[in-house]
Amino acid sequence: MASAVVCGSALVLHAATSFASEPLDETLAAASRAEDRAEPKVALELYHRAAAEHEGERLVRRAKARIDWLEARAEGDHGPLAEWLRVRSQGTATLSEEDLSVFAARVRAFPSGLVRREATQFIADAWLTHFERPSEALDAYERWSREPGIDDAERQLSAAGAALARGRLGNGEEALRELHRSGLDGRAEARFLRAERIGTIGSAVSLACLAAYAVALASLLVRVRRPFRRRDDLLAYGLVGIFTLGLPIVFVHGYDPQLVHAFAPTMGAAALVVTVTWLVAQATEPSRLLARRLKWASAAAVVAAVFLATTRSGMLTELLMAAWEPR
Amino acid sequence: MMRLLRASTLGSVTALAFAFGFGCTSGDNGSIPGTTNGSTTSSGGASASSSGSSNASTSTASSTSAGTGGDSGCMAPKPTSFPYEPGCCGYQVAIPTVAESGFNDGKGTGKPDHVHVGLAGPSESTFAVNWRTANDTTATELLLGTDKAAVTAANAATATVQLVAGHHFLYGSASDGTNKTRAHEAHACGLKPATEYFYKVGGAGVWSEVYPLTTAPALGSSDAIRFAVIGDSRNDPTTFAKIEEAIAAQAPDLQVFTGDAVATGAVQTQWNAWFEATTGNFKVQSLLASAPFMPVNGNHESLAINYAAQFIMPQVVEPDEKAEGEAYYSFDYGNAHFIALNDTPTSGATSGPQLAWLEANLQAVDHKKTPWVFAMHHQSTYSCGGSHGSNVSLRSAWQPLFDKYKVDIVFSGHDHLYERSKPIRGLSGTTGILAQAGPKGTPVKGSGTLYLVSGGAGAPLYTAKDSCTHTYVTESTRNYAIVDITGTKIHVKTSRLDGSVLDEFDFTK
Repeated sequence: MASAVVCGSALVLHAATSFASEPLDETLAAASRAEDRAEPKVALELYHRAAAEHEGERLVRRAKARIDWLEARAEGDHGPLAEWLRVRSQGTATLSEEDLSVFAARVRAFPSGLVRREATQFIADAWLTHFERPSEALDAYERWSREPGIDDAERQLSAAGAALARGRLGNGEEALRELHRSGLDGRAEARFLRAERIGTIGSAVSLACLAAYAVALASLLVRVRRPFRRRDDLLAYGLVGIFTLGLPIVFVHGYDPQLVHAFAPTMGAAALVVTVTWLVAQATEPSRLLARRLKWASAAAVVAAVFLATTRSGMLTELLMAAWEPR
Repeated sequence: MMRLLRASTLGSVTALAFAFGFGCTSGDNGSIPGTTNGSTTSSGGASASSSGSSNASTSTASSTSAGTGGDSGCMAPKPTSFPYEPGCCGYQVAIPTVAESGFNDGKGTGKPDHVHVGLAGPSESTFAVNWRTANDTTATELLLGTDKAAVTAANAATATVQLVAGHHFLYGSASDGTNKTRAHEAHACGLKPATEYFYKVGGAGVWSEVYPLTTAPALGSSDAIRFAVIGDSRNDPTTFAKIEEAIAAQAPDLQVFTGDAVATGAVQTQWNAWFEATTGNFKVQSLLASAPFMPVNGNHESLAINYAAQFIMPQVVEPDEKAEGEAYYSFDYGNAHFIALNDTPTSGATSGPQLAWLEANLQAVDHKKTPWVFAMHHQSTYSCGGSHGSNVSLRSAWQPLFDKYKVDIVFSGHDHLYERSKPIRGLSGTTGILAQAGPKGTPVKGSGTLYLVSGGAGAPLYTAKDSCTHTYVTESTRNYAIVDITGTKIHVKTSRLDGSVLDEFDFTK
């Protein structure tokens, strides 16, 4: 028995001695691997040992930073943190909706604290951006916002996330009201929702405009047979096209020259309308009165087509958000 | 604000200075154009060491010259005009054109804030601090030492606490109107490598908090170093603060920033929000004040006076270079060489002095000392992002040099997302040629350069696309990258804001 105790003590001493001679970077690497394996208690112990054994060395600050981080997440004797680290290391790429639902249920049972808050944020973001399930995301963001001890940044981010989720659910107006109520009108999410609102309304108007234009062209093709008398009206068409195309391009170029190439769909849409109008005019040779009306109708159609192309390509939201950025 | 005029050879150093951790260490002089590698000293240093000043010298606000004070033996004549050479630094400091500027006079009681650190000289022996006060405060002093308690207690230089006097100036852009800002800056030089210092700034009776700052390992050392990479934080200080909080938990040695910190670089209120960003429990300033922050100029900064005034970078003035030489620069940290480039406007970056400087800089890299070479700039040369995409003009101008001198990783931002390319070496027209890749798309024995876009520190996210052949991984998400270098091994881990890992890879040289 005595020999066993001596032997055991010797082993412990040997282990301690071995550790003491271990370079700091190796201990830190071992601790980091323990974090990767979702073993926060092991990692914490290694970091503590590293800090104690290598006091004064340059890299000890890394150990101290990790100690602070791990000890701030010690609720439930690090059990929730271990679980959270496991899911986090898995990432959303290989996480199924079922996995996330199961984890969300477990997180609700975690003791309140940083881990529960951070895990709830992860769940909310994953529902919104990865699985595109805004309803579940909204629920998670709202739970996050009600967490005890939430800091101001978390309050803002949870409100912003909830607003995006509401927007995806078609409740953009309510989302904007909530952001306003929280004093977060200046956040990018508010600008995004406002841009989306303009896009939605503008798209409906544009589609109606294009539909009316198409009907007008069709009826013209059927009914009008008189010759096109004023050749210089073609010049007017050109000027309308240049004006309608030119301004957006100048605007985009002013923001970022590299965006011009991304503006191609917009330019293409406008060019298509102008070309179709010109061809119809050539074919039908409308009266002067009809030609004038056609010009205005085509100008409106160009604007509508440009608007739709800009909205559908995501450019409208981006341009509006840039234009509305605080200066 | 610093202008590196030369890296002169070392003068003698007092043993006492070393005893307290302040001393002009010897080393290579800066052979790389514009690089702050190699320990340097100044004529001030040489004369000061011959004067035999000691750590015990009781430098005061009124008697200490700008730059490192008495205990390093680097007393220099008190400067009277800009540019000037801080004592023991071996480089010169310039400031933007402003109506009012001067040197420490110990006057004023404005509390320092926006305290942050940068590198203007050799990273193993110098650091500089920039801060803000009320406009009527012109006291510009830095107290530092290796004993935190002594620095905390000090109100002036003591046997173990060094006083460094600096300069100040009042600046404001046209957008700021009559609202001017008082910036202060002090340069601590002649420090020991790989040593933790503590410092505070301000003036007698009114000091900032005490912050820790660890100098870099000796140039060429294989000691482990860690740096963080982020960019495009503009207009969301909250998200920026959350990201900085996550980075602080990894204790990086320094941060590199790929541009666009704010939406409009000429608007000081935006910078104020940036410096004062907080999560409630964490202040961004605590990280900015304890690890050098090395930015590049983004299209939203546009080299505004506010940018040049507030950040500390090596100032090697090349022909036509703006912002007192801070438009582009390089520095060494441990065994890594960093090159910061200015790509705004693109037309000025693809030809002319910067291109020549880039080649000369890369050509002069001593790969035995700094085997790792990184470049950083704002507008991505390779990006599949839906908003900006690749800047092909920059690619055509710079990639041949990155290829020729085997730059390891090029960091950029501009597209608000994360993207890492496969290794690329060579161009076919303007299309990058994919090089041999190992596991996880990493280079094999320097087969190619990786292009990494990290632009997700707060600005509205852009759409990520993976349809480009050069893309290895991309995601539209908030992100930050932590780069660990140990000798010839590099490990890069990019995380999302929630801490989950987005990308992780390593390779050896």
